[in-house]
Amino acid sequence: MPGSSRVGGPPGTAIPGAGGEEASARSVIECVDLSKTFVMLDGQSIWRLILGGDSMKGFPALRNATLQVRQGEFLGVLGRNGAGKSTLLRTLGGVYVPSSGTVTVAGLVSAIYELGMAGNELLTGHDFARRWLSLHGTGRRQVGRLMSEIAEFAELGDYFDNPIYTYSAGMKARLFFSAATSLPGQIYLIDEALSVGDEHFQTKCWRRLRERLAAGASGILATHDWTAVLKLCRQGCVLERGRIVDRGSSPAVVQRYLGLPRPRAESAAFAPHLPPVYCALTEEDTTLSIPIDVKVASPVWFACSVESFRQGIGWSHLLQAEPRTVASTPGPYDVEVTIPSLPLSPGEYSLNLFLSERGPEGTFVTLDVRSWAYGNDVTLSVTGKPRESGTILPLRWRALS
Amino acid sequence: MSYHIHVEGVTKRYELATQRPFPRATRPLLRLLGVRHQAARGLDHKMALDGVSFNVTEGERVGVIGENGAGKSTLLHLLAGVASPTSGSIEVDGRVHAALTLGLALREDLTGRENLYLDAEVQGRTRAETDAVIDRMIDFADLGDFIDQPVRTYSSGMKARLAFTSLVFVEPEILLIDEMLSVGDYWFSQKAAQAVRELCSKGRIVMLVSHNLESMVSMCSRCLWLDGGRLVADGDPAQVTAAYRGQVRQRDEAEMAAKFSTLRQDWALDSAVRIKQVTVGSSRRPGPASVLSVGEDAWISVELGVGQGRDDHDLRLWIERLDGLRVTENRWSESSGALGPLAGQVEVVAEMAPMILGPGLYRVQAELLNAGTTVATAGAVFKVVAERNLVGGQPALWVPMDVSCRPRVAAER
Repeated sequence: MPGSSRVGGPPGTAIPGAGGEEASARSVIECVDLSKTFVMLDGQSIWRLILGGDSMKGFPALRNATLQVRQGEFLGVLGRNGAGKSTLLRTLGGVYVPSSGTVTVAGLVSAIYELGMAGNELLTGHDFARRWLSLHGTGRRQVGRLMSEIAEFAELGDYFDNPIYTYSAGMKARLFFSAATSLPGQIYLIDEALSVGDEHFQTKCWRRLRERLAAGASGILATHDWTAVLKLCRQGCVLERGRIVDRGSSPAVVQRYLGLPRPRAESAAFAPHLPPVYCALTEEDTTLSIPIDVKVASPVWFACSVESFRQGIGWSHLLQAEPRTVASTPGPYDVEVTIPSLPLSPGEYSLNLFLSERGPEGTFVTLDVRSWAYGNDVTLSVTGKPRESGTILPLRWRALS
Repeated sequence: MSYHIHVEGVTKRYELATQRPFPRATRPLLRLLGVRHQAARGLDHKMALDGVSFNVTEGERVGVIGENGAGKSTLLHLLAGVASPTSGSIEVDGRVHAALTLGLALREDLTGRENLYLDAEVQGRTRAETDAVIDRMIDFADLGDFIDQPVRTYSSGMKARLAFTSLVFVEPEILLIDEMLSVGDYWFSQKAAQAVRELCSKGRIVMLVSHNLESMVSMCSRCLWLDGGRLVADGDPAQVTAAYRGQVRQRDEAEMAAKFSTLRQDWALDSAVRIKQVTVGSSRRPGPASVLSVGEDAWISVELGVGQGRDDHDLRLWIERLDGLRVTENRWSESSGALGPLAGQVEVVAEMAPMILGPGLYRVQAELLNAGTTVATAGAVFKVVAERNLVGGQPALWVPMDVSCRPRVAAER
C-alpha cells in the first residue's frame, strides 16, 4: 500500500534522536553516595561528645544516596514520613553538612523546606520577603518590582504588613511559596509545599511552576503526594529508611510505590511478542498492528490512546480511539489501528492499550492494559521533519485577493 | 448521653488592630513616601463568620471546606471556646478536644512514648489505663524505633502522626481538627480515616478542616462549605466538594480566559505591511464565529493590508490551547511556495476540513514573515465545543482512528 507505513518494529529498535538529546542536557544537581548521620544525644553522650568518645550513637537519616537532576527537569522523591526526604533536600540545599559523599549543585538554589523556614516570626511578611530577596543577592533595582510581585502572588492583602506569627498555616505557606519562587531560572528544592493552601492557590502554584520550568528551572520535589509527582516529574525515586530503594520513570515508580494491582490478563491479553516500541513517520497514514490473545467466547473491547508528558501539567491525551468490540471467540488476533496522516511531531509518545469486557451497568472491566499509569506502556516513536508544536493540524491554504 | 453541637446565627467580627506609630498629620506624607502601612488607613474590621447556623448530632463526621480566609478556622475556634461569637449562640454538649495547631501539645524534649503518657494523663487517664492501650497506640503511630527518641528529632509528618494518635486514643467526645491530616502519608491517612470512622460509630463527633478534598470525601459523612464567612452548602461530601471544586475552577478559568484574550498581541513593524484582522468561522454558517463544533469544516482567515508590492513573504499560523499546549504551527510556504508578490488587500484562508481540535479555548496567532523575521502579527480567540464526550478522556485532537481485527496466522510471526 503506497503512502502508508506499516510499523511494529522488533524489540530494541533504535530510537533516533532520543539518546543524543538526553546526553546534552547539563546536570544541575548531583550527589554521589550521600549519607547523613545524626548523633543521638542523651544524658551520657554529651560528655562523650565533648571528650571525643568513639562509640557515638548515630541515626543514619540518609544512606548512600546517589542521584542526578538534569537542567529543565524535576525529580520526584517519594517516601513515607521519616524516610529521609527532608534530610535529603536539606543536605542538597546546604543546610546540613553531609556525613559522607559529595554534593554538586550548579546554580542558585531556592528552597521551600516543609513550611518551617520562617526564621523570625516577628518579621512582617513584607520584611520577610525583603530579607529573602537580599539573602539571594537580588540587586536593589529589582527588589521593588519583585516585592510587589510577591505581595500580589501571595494574596495576603493588608496582612502582608502584619507579623508572620499572626498568619494562619495557609497564609504562611503562600508567603513562603511566593518568595521562594519569585526568582526565575533557579534550582528549586520543594518539600511538601504543593499540597498546602486552598484549591485556588494550588492552581496558581502549579501555573507558576510551569512558567519557571518553561524558563529553564529544575529541581527536586519531595512529597508523599504521588499525584504531584506524576504531574511534575518524568523521573522519580523512592526513599525508604534513608536509602533510595526504587527509581525510574515516575508512573512506574508510583505504581510500585502504591503497590497497585495490575489486571490479571486472564480472559484476554496482549500477546507476549507485543513490541515495546512502535515506529511511525509524521504526517503519514499509519497502521499499528497489535497482537492479542483472546481466551473467552465473549465480546472483548479494545481502546487505545496516544499521550505525551508535559512537565507541570502531567499527561495529556493527544489522540484516542473509543472502545469497540474486536473479537468474541477465543484465538490469536491482530488488532489494526489506522491513524490517517499521523498528526504528531517527531518525538516519543506513550501508546496506551486497553482490553476490556462489558461489566454490569455498562461499565468496562479491564482485562489487560499497557499504560503509563501502570508503568508498562508502549512507546510510539515518531520521526520526520521537526516541528515547533506538539501536534500538527492539517491545514489547506489558499490566497484570495 | 448524646453529644451535639448547635450553632445558631453565629457572627464573628474581628476588629483589625491598627498600629499608629506616626501622628495622623503625617499620613499623606507617608503615603507620598510609599510607606505601605495600615497606619495610613482607618480602623478596619473583618467579618470572619456571618450568620452561620447548623446542627451536628452524635456520630457525625463533619468536614469544613472553603478558600483561605473563608472562616473555617474561626468556626473551630468558636466551637473550642477559644474565642466567643460577636452575636448568635453556640451550644456544645460534650467534652471538646481540639487540635487547632499541629503538634502544639507535643513536648519537644520528651520521647514519643513519654508524650503519649503525658497527654493521656492531662486528659485524666490513669497510668494503668494508658498502659492497657499504649502498645496499640505505638502500633498505630507506626514510628518504629523513633517512639523512644525525643520529639525534636521527628520530621513534621512524624509529629503529625504522634499528635493524631494521642488524639484518637483519648476517645474525645467531640474532636475538632484543623488542617493536620495533609501531612501524614498515603497509608497513614487511610488509617486515620478508619480511626475517625470507628470513633464516630461510638456516637462521638468529629469536625475537621482540610484543604485535602479527597480525604474529606473518604473521612466525612457530611461537609460544610464556607465562603466569605457564610455557609453556602451543607450536605454529602462528594457533592459539596465537587460543587466547591467547580466554583474554584470556574473562577480561575474566567480569570485565565480574560488574561488569555488580552495576551493576543497585534502589531506591525511598519504600517505599509500589516495584518488587518484574523477571523475564524464555520463553513456551514456565513460570517465569522467564535464558537466551533468538533468535526465541522472550519476556516481561519487572515486579511493583509499591503501598501506596495512586496516579495518574499511567508505567513505562519499557530494555535495554542488555554493550558499552553501548542496544537499546531503551519507555514504557507510548506504547501504553496513563497507568498507574493503582495499588493493591496489580500486574504489568506487556511481550511480545516474537518476541524479536529478537541473541546477547549484556543488562540490562533498569524505572523507575517519577511526573510524569516516577523514583521506583523495579529490573533483571535475561539472556543471549540463537542456535542458529546469521548469515552475514556478528552484528547487534544479528535482524529478518527480506524480499528479492525483479524485472526493472526501463526506463520505471520
